[in-house]
Amino acid sequence: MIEVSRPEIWRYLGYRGTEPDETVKGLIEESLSELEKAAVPRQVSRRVSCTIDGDLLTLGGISVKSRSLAKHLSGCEEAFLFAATIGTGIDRLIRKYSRLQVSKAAVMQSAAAAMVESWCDSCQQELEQNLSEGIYLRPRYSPGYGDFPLSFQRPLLDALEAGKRIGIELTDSMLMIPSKSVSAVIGLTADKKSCSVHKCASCGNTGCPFRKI
Amino acid sequence: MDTIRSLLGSRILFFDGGMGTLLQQAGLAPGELPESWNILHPDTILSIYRDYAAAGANFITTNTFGANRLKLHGSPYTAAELVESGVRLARQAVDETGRKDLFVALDIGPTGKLLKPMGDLAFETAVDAYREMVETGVRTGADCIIIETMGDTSEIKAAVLAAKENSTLPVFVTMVFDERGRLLTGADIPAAVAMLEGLGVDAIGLNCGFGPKQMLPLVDQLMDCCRTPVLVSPNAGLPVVVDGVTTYNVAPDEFSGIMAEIVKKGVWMVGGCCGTTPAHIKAEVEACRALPILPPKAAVRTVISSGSHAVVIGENPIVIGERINPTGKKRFKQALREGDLDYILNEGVHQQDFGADVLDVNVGLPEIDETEMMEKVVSELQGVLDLPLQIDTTSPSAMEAALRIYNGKPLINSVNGKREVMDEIFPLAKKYGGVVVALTIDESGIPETAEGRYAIAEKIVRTAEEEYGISRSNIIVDALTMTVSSDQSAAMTTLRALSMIREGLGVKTILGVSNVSFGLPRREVINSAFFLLALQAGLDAAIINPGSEPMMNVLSAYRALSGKDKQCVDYIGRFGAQPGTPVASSAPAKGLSLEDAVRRGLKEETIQQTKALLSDMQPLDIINEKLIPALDLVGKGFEKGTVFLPQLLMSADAASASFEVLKMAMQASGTAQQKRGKVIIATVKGDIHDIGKNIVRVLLDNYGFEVLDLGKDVPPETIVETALREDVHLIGLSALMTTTVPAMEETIRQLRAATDCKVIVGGAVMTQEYADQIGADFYAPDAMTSVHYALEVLG
Repeated sequence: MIEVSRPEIWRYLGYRGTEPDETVKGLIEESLSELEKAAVPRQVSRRVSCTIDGDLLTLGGISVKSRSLAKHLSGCEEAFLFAATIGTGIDRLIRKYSRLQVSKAAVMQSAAAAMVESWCDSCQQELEQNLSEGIYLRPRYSPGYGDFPLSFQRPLLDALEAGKRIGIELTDSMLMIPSKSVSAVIGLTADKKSCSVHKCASCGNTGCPFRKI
Repeated sequence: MDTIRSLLGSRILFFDGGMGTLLQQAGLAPGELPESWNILHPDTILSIYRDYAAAGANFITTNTFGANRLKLHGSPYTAAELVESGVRLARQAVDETGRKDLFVALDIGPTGKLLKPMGDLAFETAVDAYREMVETGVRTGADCIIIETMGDTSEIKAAVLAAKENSTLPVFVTMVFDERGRLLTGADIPAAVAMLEGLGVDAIGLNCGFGPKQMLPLVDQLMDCCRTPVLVSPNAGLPVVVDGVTTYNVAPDEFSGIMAEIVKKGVWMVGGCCGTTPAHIKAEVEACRALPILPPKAAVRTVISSGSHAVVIGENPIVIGERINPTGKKRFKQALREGDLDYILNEGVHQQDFGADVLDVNVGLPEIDETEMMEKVVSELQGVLDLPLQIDTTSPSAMEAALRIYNGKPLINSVNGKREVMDEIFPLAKKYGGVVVALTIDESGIPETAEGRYAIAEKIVRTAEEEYGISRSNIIVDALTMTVSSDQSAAMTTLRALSMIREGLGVKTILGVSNVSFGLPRREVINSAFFLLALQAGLDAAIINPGSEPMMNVLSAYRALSGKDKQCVDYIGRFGAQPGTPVASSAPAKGLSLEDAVRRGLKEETIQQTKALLSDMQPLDIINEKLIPALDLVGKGFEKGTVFLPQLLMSADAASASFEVLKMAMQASGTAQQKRGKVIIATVKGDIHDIGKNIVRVLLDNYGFEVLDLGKDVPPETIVETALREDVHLIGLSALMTTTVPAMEETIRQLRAATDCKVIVGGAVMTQEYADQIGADFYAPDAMTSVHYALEVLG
C-alpha cells in the first residue's frame, strides 16, 4: 500500500494554512480507501548516459534541447529515464464519480495525485538505495517543466517501453493515460547538496497555486 | 489457409523468436523504426527470416509489429508500404524452402494508443487502422494473422474484427499478462479468453512480459478456462539492463527445457519473444517436436465477460439487474428523451452496489434513435462499471452497434423460435460472440404447456448448432414467466418447462421473475416465493431488481441452504453485522433544516428534508426559497475563501439529490421547472480530462440552466453545429493542457464565424491573459464564477 500524506491532499484541494472540516476529512478517507483498492502501482526505469553541450542534452542516445533541463542535470554524467503509474482503475473511479458525485471526484483527483507522487518518491528512494556508495539522485524533472518540451514524452516513454511494460500510452495531445502517471528524468550525481533542492524551488512557474514555498 | 487449420492439433507447431533484439545487434539505432528495415535493409530482414525457417519454425512472423498508421509518428513510410515489404520478404523466405509446413504470419501489434473511454482513440478508427494492415498483408501473401503483445481487450477486439472482416485467414491472439494474471487495462485471463472464444479466433495465448519460468502459473490459469488451441511465446527471461542495453539471459537449453514443460500442460504451439534467437527456437523444436498433443482440459462452460472479469453461468445462480429499462418508468423515459446519461449510469451503479452480477440494458423508446442511444449507454456504462452487460433490444441495428463496441462477451437478449428473428440475431452472435437468451415463443405464440416450450427451445438450440455453428453452451433459455393471477397453473408450467429444458437439452436457464405477480397485492411476497421455487428448479440466471430486499434475501438464503455459499460466508457477510430489524444507514440529524443540510453537504438529510417539505410546499417554491439561497450562501463563502472546493461540491451534490426528488414530484403533478436558458459546455478536442467541466455542469444545473454537456474531446464543428441547432447563446469551454489551448482557440474562431455566442473559458492552464489572447468573452477561474457570468448573460 502507498502511504499518502493527508496535508498533500489538502494542498491539492486548495486548503492553505488550514485543515478541512470533519465531513471533508471523512470524504478524503472514504476516497482513499476506494483508491487503494483500485491502485496497481507500476514503474519502469532505465539508467542511461547523459551528455550536456550547452542547451543540448543526449540521454542514452536520445537528443533534446532544453536550457532548464541542462541546468537541472548540470554535472550529471548519467541519468535515469523513469515512468510510473498507479493504473487505469483509478481513472475509472474518477470517471465514475465525476458523473455521479463531483465532490468525491474532486477529492479523488487530489488524493490520487498525491498517491502517484508518493509512489514516485518511494520508487526514487529505492533507485537511490541501489546505487553505489556516494552516488545520489536529483529531483525528478518531467517533460513540460520549464522549457523541457512536452514532446519529449514520446521518445522517453518509447525508450522505456512504457506502453508494454506498465501501460502508459499518450494521446495525440501528449497526455499520459492512465492520467495518474508520471514520467521524468532523474540525474545521478556525486554532489549530494545538489539533490536537496525542493521540487517547487527549481520551477519557473512562480504564480502556481500549488507552489509550496 | 485450411492447411494451417488442419495441421493445428495434428502435432506441435512452432512460431519463430525475437526480431527486435536481433535488429539491435545488426545496428538498429535507439528510436529507429524497426519496420523501416524492411525497406532500408531487406537483406538483414530476409536473413533473419531464413535463420528462423532453418531453425525449424513453422511460422515466420513478419517484421510489421508496429507498422500501424496510428503508430508511425513522422515516419517517411506508410503503414501499407512497411507491411507490404515485410510480408513480401517473408513470403520469399518461406517459398524458397519449398516446405509445406512453413507459413507467413502477418504480425499485428498494439496501436500505442488507448481506446475510449480510457483514452482518445475511437473504436472504429482502431478497426480501420488494423484493416489497412490486414488488407495489405493478405494481398501480399500472408497465410495467417498473429495479433500479439496485446494489453487491452477493447483494442484486441478491434484488431480481431478487422482481421475477420477483411480476410478468412486463421487468427491467433497472444497477450501480455502481469504476474497476477491481468492485462494492463484490467482484464483477467478468463475474461480475455471468454471474449476471444466468443469472437472465434483460432488460437489464444501468452507472449512477452516474462521468461518461460514465470509464465508457468499463467499457462495453468489459461489451460483452466481455454478450450481453443493455445500458443505461448515467452521472452528469454526477464530483461536485464547491462550498460544501458536491455538483454535477456535465459540460454537456449534452459529455455527449451521449460518450453517442453509448457507443452506438457497442453499447449499446441510455442515460439519465443524478446531476446529469443534462432538458437532458442532450434532447441525448442528439438525439445518439443515429439511431444504429444493433449486435448483441452477446460470444461465446456457458459460464460460471459466484462472488461475485467468473467461470469460463469450455471455454477451459482446470478442476478441480472433489470432497472435500466424505460418500460413503465416515467422518470427513465424522461432521462432517455433528455439524453440524461448520468441518471442511467446511476441506475447501473446502484444495482451493482446491491449485488447485481450483470446489468440488462434496454433503452428502447419510440421517439429516440435507439441505435445511437444504445451505443452511447453501453460505452458509458462500461467506462464506469466493470459488470458484464445484457444487451436487450429488438432492433438488430442497435444490437449490432452494442455488440461491436462491447468490451467483452455479453448476454444477447434475445432470440425466440421465430425464423426471422433467429436469422437476424444468430449471425451477430456468431460474429461478435455472446450468450444468447432464447425465449420459448414462436410464430404461433407462447405454448401453454411445458412440452410446447421445450419443443421451441429444442428448435432454437438445433438451429443455433446446425445452421449457425453456435454451441448450446452459448444459449440460455427463458421458459417465460406468466402471470399467475390470470392463469393459476402458469407458475408451475414455467417451472416444469425450466427443469425439462435444463435436463433434456443440457442448456442453462434464465427467467424474468417479477411478471408472475402482476395484478396481485404485495407483489414481492409472490415474487420471492416464486423466485425460490425457480432456484430450486435449477434457475441459473434471474432478471430481477437487485434493490428488492426480499428477492436478494431469498437468493442469499438459497445459496446458503443449497451449499453453494461455502460455510455460509456470504450469508453471514450480508446479515451477520445487522441486528434483526433493519435500521436506517444514518439517523437523520434532528432539527436540521433543508438549507443547513445543503450547506453542510449532507446528502441523505437533504433528501429527507426535501421529502418532508413537499407535504406543504410546492417544488418550485422549495427551489427558489430554500435550495438556491442555500447554494448562494455556500457560493459566497467559496468566493471569500472561507468555504473550500470540496465543501462547495458536497453542497452541490446534496442540492442535486434534492432536485432529483423534486423532479419526481413535479413529474407526478405534471408541472415543470422553468429553465433559465441553455448553456453548452464541452472539453475541447484533444483534451480528455473533464472533471472541471463536470463540476461546472453540476452547479449550472443546480441554478436552473439547461445544460447541454457535449462531453470531452469535442471537435469545434460539433460545438458550432449544436449551438446553431439548439439556438444556444452561451458556451463554456474547458482545456487542461497547453497543448489543447489551440483547439480552444480554433473552437472560438469557428463559433465567432457562425454565431453570436458568448464564450466562457476555464481549465487548469487557463489564465486571463490566455483567455484574452484566444478571444474568449470571459475567463472563469472557478466554477462559481461561471455561474455568475451565466446569470449575467442569460439571467
